[in-house]
Amino acid sequence: MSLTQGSEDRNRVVLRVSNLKLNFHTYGGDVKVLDGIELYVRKGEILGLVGESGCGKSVTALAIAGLLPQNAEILSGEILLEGKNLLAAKKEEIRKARLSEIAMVFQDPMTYLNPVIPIGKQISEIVESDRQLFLKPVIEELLNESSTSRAGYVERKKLERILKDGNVSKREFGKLAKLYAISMLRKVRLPDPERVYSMYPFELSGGMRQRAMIAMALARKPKILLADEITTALDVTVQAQILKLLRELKDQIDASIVLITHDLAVVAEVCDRVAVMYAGNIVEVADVERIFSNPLHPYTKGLLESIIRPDVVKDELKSIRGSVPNLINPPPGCRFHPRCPFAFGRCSIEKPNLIEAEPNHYVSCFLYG
Amino acid sequence: MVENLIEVKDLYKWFPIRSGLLGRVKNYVRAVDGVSFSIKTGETFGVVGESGCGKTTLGRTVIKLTEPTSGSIIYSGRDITKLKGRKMKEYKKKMQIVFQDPYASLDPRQTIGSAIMEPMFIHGLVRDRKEARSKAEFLLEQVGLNPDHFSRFPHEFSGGQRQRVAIARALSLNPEFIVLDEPTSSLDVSVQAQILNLLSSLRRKLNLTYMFISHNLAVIRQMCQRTAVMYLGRIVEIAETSRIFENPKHPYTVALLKSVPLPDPKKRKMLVSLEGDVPSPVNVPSGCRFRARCKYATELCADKAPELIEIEKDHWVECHYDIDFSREAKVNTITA
Repeated sequence: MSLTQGSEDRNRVVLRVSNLKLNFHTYGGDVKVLDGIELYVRKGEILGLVGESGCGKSVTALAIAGLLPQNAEILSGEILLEGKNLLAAKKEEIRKARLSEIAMVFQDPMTYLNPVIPIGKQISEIVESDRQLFLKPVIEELLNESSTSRAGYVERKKLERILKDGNVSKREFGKLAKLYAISMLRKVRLPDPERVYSMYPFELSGGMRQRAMIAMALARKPKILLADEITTALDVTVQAQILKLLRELKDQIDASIVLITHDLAVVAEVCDRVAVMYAGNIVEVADVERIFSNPLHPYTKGLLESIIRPDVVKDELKSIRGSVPNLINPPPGCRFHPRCPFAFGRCSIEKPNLIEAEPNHYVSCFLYG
Repeated sequence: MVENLIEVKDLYKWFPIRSGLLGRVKNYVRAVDGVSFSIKTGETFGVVGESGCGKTTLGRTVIKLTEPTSGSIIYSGRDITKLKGRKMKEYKKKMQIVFQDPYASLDPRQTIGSAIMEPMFIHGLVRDRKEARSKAEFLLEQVGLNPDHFSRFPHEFSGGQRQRVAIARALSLNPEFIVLDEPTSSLDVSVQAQILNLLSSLRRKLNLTYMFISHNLAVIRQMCQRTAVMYLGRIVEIAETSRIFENPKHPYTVALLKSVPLPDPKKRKMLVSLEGDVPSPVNVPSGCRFRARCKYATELCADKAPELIEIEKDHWVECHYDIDFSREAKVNTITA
């Protein structure tokens, strides 16, 4: 319960999810996908959301972004973005939030990019879709950029004028949007951004496409960037490039990043804080160093022990016994108890709450009270 | 017993690209482009590389699931490259494969029992159904599944369990050699370890030889005695796995090792080592194929393709230079 009450972090929290319960209706029955998610994201941090496939990490992100499929039903909970509940908001507010406050990048860029529209156009289209909303961020970005370029002086005056008047023709804004899109492509370190602007998705490699997707998300100046398994489909050398980019961007942009992944090594490399999910619950939240040095939840412990490391050779690899439960009929009580080596009587009857076992280290397990 | 179970010499596999009305061959995808190596009896031989480097094609060609374009494959002393029909069938029995995706490699309409029995019937290993069934049940038990699951369908199993079925099917012909093509990369971390443990114990119990194909360096290190690193259709380095990790000699191997993230927030590093992407295997660069991404490349690298040479005993590298990476490679060389 204490996650929602929060301790000293209160003012820095941008996004807070509390008691989010959600079912998917299927022919086989209701899948209890999320079972009371408690989560908050601080300003400017990279939060890792880790778990195995089917644990509900992507669904949590989709719920935050308002992109849930038709068969999803939210049973309870709140998603508060800077204090405003997105689940109770009006349609227009949700549209604005999705357009400019929450952005999402997916695993497979080829599925989400439009194959018949040039990359750059897909970015400038976003800002052109709402001239009023994006006028300020676009001009500010261009002013920022022109201050470093030689030919920027004349442009500068014009831009400042537009910013003051708050008035720009559709055509002129289109031109600015193009420049803005190019500057976004440059921001994600795509080589030769002017040329990439007019290229089609099929002409780019996997890593470049993922960069383009990130540029598209950043163009909206989001407060929350949801990155769902963005490096999973990439090769290690390209994954390294994207992870490096994320780390560099973190200091340049104003957004908090939620990195969803199944790969604990990726988490260790880029995240500030980690939330571990299991079968629709957040089971542990802590700073990244704490999670790795002092995991509390038996699932987190098991997960860390089963990692195969490139720098340590073991005789026998450890694993967690059993497999992930079917969420149509999830186990009663703690959903991990059938696989848990420490389970006792209470675990199969009652569901443990997420409690603050140490300062800023939350765990949902009866072993800790 | 022969020391080298498999010897591959100068193996090529080029896939033609046809286009136009007459289907003329316009160009080739040079998936495997001149590869030589040997696999010792009883070892796990790793093949590691990024997607599109030809590692899967190499695995399939070695057991002749695809015919090689040229080169030779010698299986325990006998050249099997040109064998066809009944003679090849004898060897196919000894060489099996486990594929990456257990959702695609099992027929959804066939019970798992029947999937395991089918190879035995094809090769006439059993007299009747009853014998086949008892053997299949034994195999299910051996891979850690309940023999009562014999008449179930693949959709009733999880990914890890399906992979166990695929392993049981590969074992049904009592093979000597199994190609494991990314056997755990579609599985979750907690299940991956179970399957790798199973594979290691089966190898010891049944005296199997593995060719283990993976893009995951951590898994390779855990499983393999010797490892070959592939880049764009060529093997650029072969050595004992510990050597590859502790004393890599090819700039590509070094870069690959440096880009692997470690599950330890205290050992964060500036990950990047390589810019750009793997070139297309259709338009292979002249000279050394890695030169466009290699920071040590010189004019010599553009002019002349390096050969795979033995720089130390059992350590083969395909590079013109002997570069000292001792400072660079440090990040990844901690052994427990």
